Amino acid sequence: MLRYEYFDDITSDQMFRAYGKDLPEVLEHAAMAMFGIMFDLEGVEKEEEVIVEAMGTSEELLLFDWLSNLLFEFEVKYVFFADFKVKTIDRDEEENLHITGSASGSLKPQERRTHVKAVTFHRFSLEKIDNRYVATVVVDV
Amino acid sequence: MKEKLKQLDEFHFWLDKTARSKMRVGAMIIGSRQVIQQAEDNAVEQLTNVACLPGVIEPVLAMPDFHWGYGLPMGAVGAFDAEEGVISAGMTGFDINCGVRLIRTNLTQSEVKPKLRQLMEELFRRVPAGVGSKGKIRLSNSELDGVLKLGARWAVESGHGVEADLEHCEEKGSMEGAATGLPELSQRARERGRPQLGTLGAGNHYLEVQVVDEIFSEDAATRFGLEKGKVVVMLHCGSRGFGHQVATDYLKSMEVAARKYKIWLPDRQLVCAPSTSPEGQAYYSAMKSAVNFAFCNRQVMTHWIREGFETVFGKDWEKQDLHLVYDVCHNICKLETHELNGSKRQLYIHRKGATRAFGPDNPLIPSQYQPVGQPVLIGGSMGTASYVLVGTEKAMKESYGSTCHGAGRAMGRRRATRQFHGREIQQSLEKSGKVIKSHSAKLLAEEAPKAYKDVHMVIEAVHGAGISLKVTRQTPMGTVKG
Repeated sequence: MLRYEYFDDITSDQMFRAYGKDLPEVLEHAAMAMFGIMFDLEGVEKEEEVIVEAMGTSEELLLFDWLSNLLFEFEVKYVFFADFKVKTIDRDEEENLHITGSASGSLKPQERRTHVKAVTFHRFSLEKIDNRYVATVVVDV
Repeated sequence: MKEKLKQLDEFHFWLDKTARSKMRVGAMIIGSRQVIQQAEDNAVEQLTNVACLPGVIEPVLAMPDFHWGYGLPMGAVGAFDAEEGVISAGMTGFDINCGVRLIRTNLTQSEVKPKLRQLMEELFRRVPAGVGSKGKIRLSNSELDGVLKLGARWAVESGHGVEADLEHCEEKGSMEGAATGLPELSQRARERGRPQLGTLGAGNHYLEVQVVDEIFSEDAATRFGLEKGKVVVMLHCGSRGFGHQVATDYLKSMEVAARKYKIWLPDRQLVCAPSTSPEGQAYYSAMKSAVNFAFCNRQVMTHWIREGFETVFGKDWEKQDLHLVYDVCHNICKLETHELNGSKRQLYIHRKGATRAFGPDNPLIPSQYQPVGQPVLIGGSMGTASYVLVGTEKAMKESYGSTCHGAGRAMGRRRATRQFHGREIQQSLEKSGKVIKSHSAKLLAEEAPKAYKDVHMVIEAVHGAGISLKVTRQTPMGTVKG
C-alpha cells in the first residue's frame, strides 16, 4: 500500500498526502513524508530513540501537534529521524487525545534538501475515506 | 478568479469585492500583464480570503512577486484596523522577520576576484549554514532574554557590531515590548531558538558577495554609499527555529481564539484574533521577540562576515568600509500609522514576502536617507541579479509603504529537483567565474535560478507602478547556501 506521496501544486510550499489503515499508521506515515522532504530516509541508522508526545482536541489537531512536536525534537536533539512509532493513543476525561510515541534516527548529518520550517493549516485535513485514513498536509519550506 | 481582474493601468489590476461572496473589500495586484499571466489562480483567490476578515482595510495588496503559499500568498500585504481588525499569526507566517541586509565595501571587483574562492570558503566556515546547523554562541538564560528584548542591540553590546549598525536597521534593529517568557512566549520557542542564534539556515536563505554593476539613481546610490564596480555583501535569513516555534504555538492558540470570537475563516491558515484581544496582543508580543531574534541573528553574522574580510584582505573592516547600508524585514506584522482618505489611522500591517518602502522625509528612516527615502533590498535568485530600490511617497499613498521582496518562486521544489541537477548548476555558475558553496547539491537544484520568476520583470513592475524606484543592480560573485 502507498504510504505517502508528494504533490507539486503549491509553488512556495510542499504538500503531501499520507495514508494509513488506522490512526497510528497514518500518523507514522505522515511523519515519514515530512522528514523525507528534508533528507533521504533510506539507509539512516536508527541509533537514537526519542520519546515524542502530542495532544489534540481532535484527531486532526493531534496530527498537527504530532508533526509539529517532531520538528521541535529534530531541531533540539539533532537526531535525523527516519522511523516513527505511535505506541498509544489515549483519550482523557476532557475528550482530548494524547499520543505517546517515538522517533528513531541517526546523529550523523545526512545529505540535506530543504528545511521544513513548520506545519501549516492550509488545506490541512485528516479524513477517513473507504476504511483508510488520509492526511493532507502542507508544510512551510 | 483571474478573469475577474480589471486592468486599471499598465501596472495596476483590481479585483472588486463582488468577485466572491463575503469579501468586505477589494484587492489590488501591482504588476504588469506578464505578471498576471504568470500568476496562479489560487494565489489570486488567497487575496480574496484575506478580504473576508473583520476590520480589513481596502485594498488587500499583492506585489508582482506574489505566488501561492499558505494563507496569504507570498508577496502580499494585509492591513487591518487597530481597533476593529485582527492580528493573524497564520498571515504573518512562520519565518518571522525573515529579512535582508546589505553591507557595502570599498573593494573593487578586480581586488576581490583573485581572492574570491578563499573569501567564500572563509565565509562558509564562519557562518554556520544548513538544516540542523548549530551556532557558535552558547546563550545563558539571561543572555537569551537580552537577545529577545534588545534584538540587534544585544549583539552590538556583546561585541558583534557598532552603534551605527543599529541606526541602519528597520526599527533600529529592535521592537519594544517583546515577550521573554511565559505566558506569551513558550519554553519550547526558547529551547528551539537558543542553539540557532548565528546560523543562516537552509532553503532560500543565503549569503552572497555581489558587485554593483549598474546605477540607476546617482543621488540615492551616493547616499547609500554604493558605487559602480564596488563589492557588497547581501545576507538573507530570519528568526530560524525560534520564529517557527512562536508561529506554530500561536497557530494552535489562534485556532481556538478564532472560534471563541466567532471569526469566520475562509482558510484555516488565516487563524487570527481581534487586535485588541488578549490572544491578539499576546501573539504580537511573542512575534516581537522573534523579530528581535532575527535582527540579532543577522547582526551576529554581519560581525563574522567582517572578520572573514579582515582575514582574507588583511585590513580592519572599517578600512574596507564594511558598513551596513540597511536591514529590512520581509515577514512581519507591525502597528503603523497610515493616511487613509485624508485621516491618519493606526493599522496592523501584515507583510508576508513584502518589504517596507517608506518614502522621503519619514522620521522612521535614518536621517542621511531621509532626502531620498528608505533603501529597499531585493534579492534575486542564485546566479541572477539583486537590486537596491528606494521607497516613495506613492508607496505611502497606495501600498501602505510597501513593495516586493524578491523574484518569487515560479515552480515547486520537487519539480525543480526533477528538472535540474545541483552539481550541474554549480558547475555552470562556476564556469562563469562565480563561486557557490553549499552543504547540499539537492538544495542547489531546488534553488535553481530557473525555479524563480524573472527578477527584472518584478523590479520593472514596482518601478513602473512607482511604489519603489531603482537605485542599483548587483550581480553575484559568490554565494553561500544553507
